[in-house]
Amino acid sequence: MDLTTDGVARLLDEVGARPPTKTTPRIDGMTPALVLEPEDADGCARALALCHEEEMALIPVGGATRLGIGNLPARLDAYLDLRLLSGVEDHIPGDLTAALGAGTTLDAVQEALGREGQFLPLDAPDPSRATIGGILASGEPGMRRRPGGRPRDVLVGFEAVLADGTPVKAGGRVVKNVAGYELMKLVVGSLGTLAVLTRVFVRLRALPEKVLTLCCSARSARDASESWRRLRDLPLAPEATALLNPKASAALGTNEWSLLLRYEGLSEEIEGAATDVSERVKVEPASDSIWHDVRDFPTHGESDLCLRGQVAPARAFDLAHAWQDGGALMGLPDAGLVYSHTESLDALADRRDQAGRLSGTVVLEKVPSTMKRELDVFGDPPRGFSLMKRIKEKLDPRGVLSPGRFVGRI
Amino acid sequence: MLDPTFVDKLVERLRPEAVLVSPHHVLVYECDGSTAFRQTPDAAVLPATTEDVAAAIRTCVEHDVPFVGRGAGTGLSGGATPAEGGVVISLAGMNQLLELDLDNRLARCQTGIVNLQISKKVAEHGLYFAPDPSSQSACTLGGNIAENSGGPHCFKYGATTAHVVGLTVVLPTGEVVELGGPQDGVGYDLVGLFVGSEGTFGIATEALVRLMPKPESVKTLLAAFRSMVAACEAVSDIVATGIVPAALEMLDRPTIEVVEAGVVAAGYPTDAEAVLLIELDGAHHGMERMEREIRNACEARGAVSFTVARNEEEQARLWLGRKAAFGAMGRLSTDLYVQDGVVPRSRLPEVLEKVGEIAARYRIKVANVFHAGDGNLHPCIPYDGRDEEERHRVLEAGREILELCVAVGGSISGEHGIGREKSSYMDLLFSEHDLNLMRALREVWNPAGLCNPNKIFPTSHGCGEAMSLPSVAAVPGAWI
Ligand SMILES: Cc1cc2nc3c(=O)[nH]c(=O)nc-3n(C[C@H](O)[C@H](O)[C@H](O)COP(=O)(O)OP(=O)(O)OC[C@H]3O[C@@H](n4cnc5c(N)ncnc54)[C@H](O)[C@@H]3O)c2cc1C
Repeated sequence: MDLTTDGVARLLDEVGARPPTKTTPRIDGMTPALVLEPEDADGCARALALCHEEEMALIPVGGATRLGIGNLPARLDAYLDLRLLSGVEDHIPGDLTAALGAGTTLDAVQEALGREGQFLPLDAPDPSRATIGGILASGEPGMRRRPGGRPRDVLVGFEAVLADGTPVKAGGRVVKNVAGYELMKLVVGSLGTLAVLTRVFVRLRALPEKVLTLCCSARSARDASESWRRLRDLPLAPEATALLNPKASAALGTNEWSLLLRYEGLSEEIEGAATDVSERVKVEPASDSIWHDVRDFPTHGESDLCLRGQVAPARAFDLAHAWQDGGALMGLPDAGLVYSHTESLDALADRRDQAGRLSGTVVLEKVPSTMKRELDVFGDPPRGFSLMKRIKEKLDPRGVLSPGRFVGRI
Repeated sequence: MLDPTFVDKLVERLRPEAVLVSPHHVLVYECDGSTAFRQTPDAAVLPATTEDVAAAIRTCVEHDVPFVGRGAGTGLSGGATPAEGGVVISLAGMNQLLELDLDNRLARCQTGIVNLQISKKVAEHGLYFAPDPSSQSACTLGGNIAENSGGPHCFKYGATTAHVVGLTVVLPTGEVVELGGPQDGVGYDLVGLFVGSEGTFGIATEALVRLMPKPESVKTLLAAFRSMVAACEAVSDIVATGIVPAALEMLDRPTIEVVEAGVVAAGYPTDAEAVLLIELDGAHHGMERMEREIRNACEARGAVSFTVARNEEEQARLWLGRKAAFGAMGRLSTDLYVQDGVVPRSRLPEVLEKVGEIAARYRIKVANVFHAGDGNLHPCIPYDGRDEEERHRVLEAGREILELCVAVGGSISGEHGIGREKSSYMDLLFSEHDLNLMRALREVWNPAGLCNPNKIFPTSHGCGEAMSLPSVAAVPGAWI
């Protein structure tokens, strides 16, 4: 973009835009001509309105931990850096709710809530940098899968700015609310293509009295699946379950497959669960810190390629089995997700086939930018794609919000 | 009046017996559970398959006729009333559980299936469908999806949206789309967006729903308090302990009195100002401790009695009062107005006090029986609909109650939806920008506006219409 045009001059002037610096993060090798850093929601609305007038393509950025996901941006003129919109407000312990500035880091949120014995049930890689707005927008699946416990269920309301700078809100700050459409579901996972979140209202949980991690070793993914099935109808369901292949199990000091179980609750419940589990399968206690590795798995790894396979829960083991030759692999069977790092770019076509045979889909979480030119990282357009496209066109007719990055290069 | 060629086309594309046009056949579709909003449809269609629904909708689109989907008609906001006449598409005959996937704990059902039937059909596998609106013996899955219905147990397990992973939808253009599925998808969460769209985004014909394992143990407790405020404070304290009861319901003194005066007294202490009905479920190991913690929380707030059901029979008895409350109130007066506001739990004490003040000011009775755990109020106002002046007072009081909910950071509906009833209240909560965003989405799904018109959004219609006061019709076996 030409930095001398009138529009840019206006931006530099009126909303304090600045050129990028050396530390400005890149998206697929690109940096924008301008970086906007609004101090509040009003500033955010002004910035968006101006960019919209100038038809400048803009990508909202939080902690820049996940800029690698998504397709190649079709255009990129400016970053909207949201980190100044930060803060934990209105945390009311008796309500188990809080209002959070979209730019607040996950660690900062947990720290503030933790002082009152509560937490936000979201897990995302690099929580010291990852912001709430970014985590929700990228639809980070997380590892918790109890009903009502998915990331999409955490958001009970939000304030946001639309592509043309219009401020909007939806939902509210109460935990049960059916007034108006469920726009919360629409923004979670929309990758900054529909609106820029400025403030979010979230549902919290009390910190558990006790956490217990158990590890069940297995010779193969199929063996692990046997154990998972044997444990399935125990009265206390684990809060999270993770499957690690031998390469990913190194931190646990084993060279076998590991099925990790995380229990949270009252000490009596946990002790009972430990007894129940050990009556059915052979388990060892493991350190709770292993869950940090599980959480960070998608972004930590030297590989060039990281895939996320999505299948029906009970098929996660089959997918893990099919994908076992390669690098480190981590599955979240209750969610039907399997993450796999691999060095071999040639393996991609095979892996997509294997997931396809299990009626699953594959998202490329990390892939060299050069490959993104030929590939849609989300695979074939999903069911309902024409509706998705129409929603995008309706809310952002000029295509200025994160153009090109989402499914079907929306 | 419908164009005869339109009716002929419907008959030809469906079957003669699937198309009703005679006035006395279509009369039953004139309203839902809130009987104040009545509009007789011009025709009703009884589809048996997704293709039937698609054919009916295509015919409507070709002739520019409005249409609305209907489940059991137990809705409480006028959602299924054919506001502009046209065609009612009744899903009641599409009531099959089509496929059970035990490995993934999922069931594919036609949306006309009655909520409770799903749980009954999967009970032999130790599973159940968690959303449990009090009308569950009558209401349909499709209605639950459209309203994102809740129920006592959604406090712990989430409302309908948390339990629906896939949908077959006939769009308002007549096109059939499959959305979601057993695995996480990519792209916008259209299933999540559809749930709660109150029948304005199309008609869902099939749904893939999650099933849950039945809990190992269940405990039912009843705590009685000398003051409403104390009971409300106990609610916040319980929530903050971190123990999540499966249900946390409250009844106030007027409700207790009505219940205890009824045919089937539940044995609630009549000198209490409020009782909390608390259900715990989960693993047997944690039960005793949970009960102790809850008891402590209640006693710390001055509970005067604390009863623990010792067996299933006693559990049922404790629930009986809660479940009978609605029917018992129905016997008090000719009409009953049920509100559905939500407030932050920590504001319950002051809100209930103010609701009392509002009632006194308007010289009306209010009985509160509600989902306290998530702050979802149901002030019930008995009145005589034939008394114009009283109706007016009830309506004004209702509006003030909702304004109060909004003022403390709450909402105008927790589970019954906006529909016809509350469309003129939407601007209490939302700005024109907010509403325009929602309208834009409706236009994407429902471009011609033929699908369930005149719902959710405030209209410029004369206020006479919006001023009519909904009164709830009793549904056999249901409670509120
Ligand atoms: C006594 C009583 C107690 C109640 N208790 C509760 C409660 O505890 N919690 C709660 O949430 N609600 C409650 N309700 C309200 C009501 O039962 C629910 O809203 C229920 O989900 C409606 O289901 P239905 O099949 O009767 O839908 P209907 O009333 O027939 O329709 C409701 C809406 O859904 C739409 N619709 C119906 N089927 C479809 C479909 N297949 N696709 C798209 N749209 C469709 C209709 O167009 C309409 O807008 C209660 C009602 C009564 C009368």
